[in-house]
Amino acid sequence: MRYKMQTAELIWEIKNNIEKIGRSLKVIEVCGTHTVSIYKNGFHTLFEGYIDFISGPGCPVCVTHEGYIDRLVELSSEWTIYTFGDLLKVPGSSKSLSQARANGGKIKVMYSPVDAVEHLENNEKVIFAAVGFETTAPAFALSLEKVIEKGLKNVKFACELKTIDEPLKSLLQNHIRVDGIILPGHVATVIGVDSFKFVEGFKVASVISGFEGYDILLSLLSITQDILNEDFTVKNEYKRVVKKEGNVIAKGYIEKYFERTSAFFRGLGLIPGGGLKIKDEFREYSIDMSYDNTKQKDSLCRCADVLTGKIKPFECPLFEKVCTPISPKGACMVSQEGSCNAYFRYGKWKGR
Amino acid sequence: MCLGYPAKVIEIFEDKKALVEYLGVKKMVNIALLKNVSIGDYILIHSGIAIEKIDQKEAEEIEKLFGEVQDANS
Amino acid sequence: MKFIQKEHGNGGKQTYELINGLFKPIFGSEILKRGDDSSIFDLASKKIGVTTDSFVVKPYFFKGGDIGKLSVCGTVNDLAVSGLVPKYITASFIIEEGFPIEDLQKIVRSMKEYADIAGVEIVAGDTKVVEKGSCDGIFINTTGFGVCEKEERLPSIEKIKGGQIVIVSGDIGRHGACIYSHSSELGVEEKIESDCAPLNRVINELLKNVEICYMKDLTRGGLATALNEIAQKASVDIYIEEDKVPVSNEVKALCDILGLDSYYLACEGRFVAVINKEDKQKTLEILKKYNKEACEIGWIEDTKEKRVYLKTSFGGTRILDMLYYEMLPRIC
Repeated sequence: MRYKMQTAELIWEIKNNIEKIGRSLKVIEVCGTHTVSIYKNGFHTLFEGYIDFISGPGCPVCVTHEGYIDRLVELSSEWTIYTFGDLLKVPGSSKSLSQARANGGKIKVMYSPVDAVEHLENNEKVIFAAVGFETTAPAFALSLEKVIEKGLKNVKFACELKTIDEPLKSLLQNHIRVDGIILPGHVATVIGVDSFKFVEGFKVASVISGFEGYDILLSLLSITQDILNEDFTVKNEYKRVVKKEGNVIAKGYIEKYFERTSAFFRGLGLIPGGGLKIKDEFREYSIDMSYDNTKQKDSLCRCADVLTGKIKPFECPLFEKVCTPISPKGACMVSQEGSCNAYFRYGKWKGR
Repeated sequence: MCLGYPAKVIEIFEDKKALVEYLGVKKMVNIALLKNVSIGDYILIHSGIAIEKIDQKEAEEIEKLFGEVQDANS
Repeated sequence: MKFIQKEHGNGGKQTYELINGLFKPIFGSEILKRGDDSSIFDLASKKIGVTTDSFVVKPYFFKGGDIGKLSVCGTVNDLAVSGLVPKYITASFIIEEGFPIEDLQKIVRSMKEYADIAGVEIVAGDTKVVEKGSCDGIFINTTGFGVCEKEERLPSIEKIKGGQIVIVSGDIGRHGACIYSHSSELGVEEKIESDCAPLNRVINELLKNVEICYMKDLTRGGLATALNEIAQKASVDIYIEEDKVPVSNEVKALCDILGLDSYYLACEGRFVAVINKEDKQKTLEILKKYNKEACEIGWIEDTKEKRVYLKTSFGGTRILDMLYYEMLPRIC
């Protein structure tokens, strides 16, 4: 029924609710695709003074340690690295994958890891740069299954997959106080509404959201209503896709091939259970990616503070001055979903 | 972190593949993560793989609703 | 099938055969047929314009065109949007050894076809053959000469000022989307058709009937990049309304599938024009004869921030910046 609402009416109602609450709200979007949707639709200007949008740790590129890139660069002299376009420009400590490619490194951009496996020949030495959250993990599980079925011996996975629940817990527990959370719609598609029940313990309004501008507005309406009603149950705005239990087959694939491990998140540090690694029984398909995750290049870059919502991108001393999309110093500027990048490209606005 | 697009199933093939259409663009995708996919179903695709069926009724609501958004602005 | 070999580029007999057997008969230009070291022609005009461009598209045959058509249209369009009438072009080929001669023939024929459509004559050329691996199939460079028919009609950046409106000549992003749709890994069944086309006829008609303050063709970097260049050079701000920018469904679809942004996708047969408000109706009348999608998309403001702003469908405003890097397909 609420779908019948017109955009202008919806925006008015959200603002009206916030006026009733009596203060501006801090809302965090966990997922980078939400970040981009918010900025692209201009919601940061539309709700100026009403909602302060904070970008969370849900961009796999932003939270990836530079040691992972360094290792891929190193391996690209011998193996062909298959990567999503997202990872190509992320700076390692000396080179990005794109720079490595210019220097003769074997690097290929893929659209789908499953399709990529289908085109592989038996003797090709290939490493899949497996990054992403639970949305993408089943794709790599399926690829791994195909690799096994095809009997490909020289295909490995550089597994840096992440889970969303543990970093989100850590963020809410240790780093940040927010009024509302926009939960990642596509991760929720795979893991289900119930997997986000833990958020209720933090007494914060939360909603699983789709990615269209309208989805975001409906989610903001839900958040403001929940704050007014002091209702902290997880809501699901993205009902057309997200189910209570998620996608059982996809979850089954993740469980079959991966297990939880601790993982590094830029800004949050090492998070127990925050990542997925290939199970021991399939370890011949895994390539050792170990890097020293305690070391991070010494820099004024404040990606970590941006990712945890402590500062806005423009409060970082490097922002716009030396850190731009052309020469990014931190991952938040590299990824098109990164909050610094989104802020740089869409966010600047008169009287900032 | 996860781009996805909704598409309509046009044809189903062996080996858990389907031809889908989205705004006039036709593309092969993998449907191994879904059960009981039929022609005419709407599915959500991420990195070449269907990760969920889209609830027809809810989707229609959304379609209607996006129509309205456009009307409201024109 | 016959292939290009190193000998085709050594300046000897085979080069001679390629030029006289393939290029000259197809291009059929009297000036070219003389085979002199320079082509001598007449450009009776006080002002002459020259432009040059190199083309390296992959695949070199795509839906709606090929590298030959592209190399003619690209140069013709650069002259046309400057307000000039394109007259002569030169064509220089760098070909990888092993390139199929049949493909070269097709490309050269297509250059001739579109040169004729655009009313330009190909008057000089060059061919080099490089070792396998030194170039990717075929690269073409074209240089074009155009004449100015009425000096006072020349569009110029100085004519841009607040209150004027911005018009686009058709739906955007087709060429870029077309090239992406051809990548085999993506598995798109039906390729998207490129918008590659010569623009000199429509522009000529415009220049004769209305005052065009400024024009720019949309090539690499797409609409967003072209508008930013205009805002920078003219020291103005440009406001664009998201809902008015024409984008076809298939281009939208490809953008959603690959995580690309249509504002940055290349066009090869579209341009933006800045005009005075009172010329709007007449301008659109002419443009729509050539492309129904032509429309007003925004306006100029004198605020001098040199920025392009986008009014979103939801009523928000955001920056529409230049393209900062190669657009890559992404999952997030």
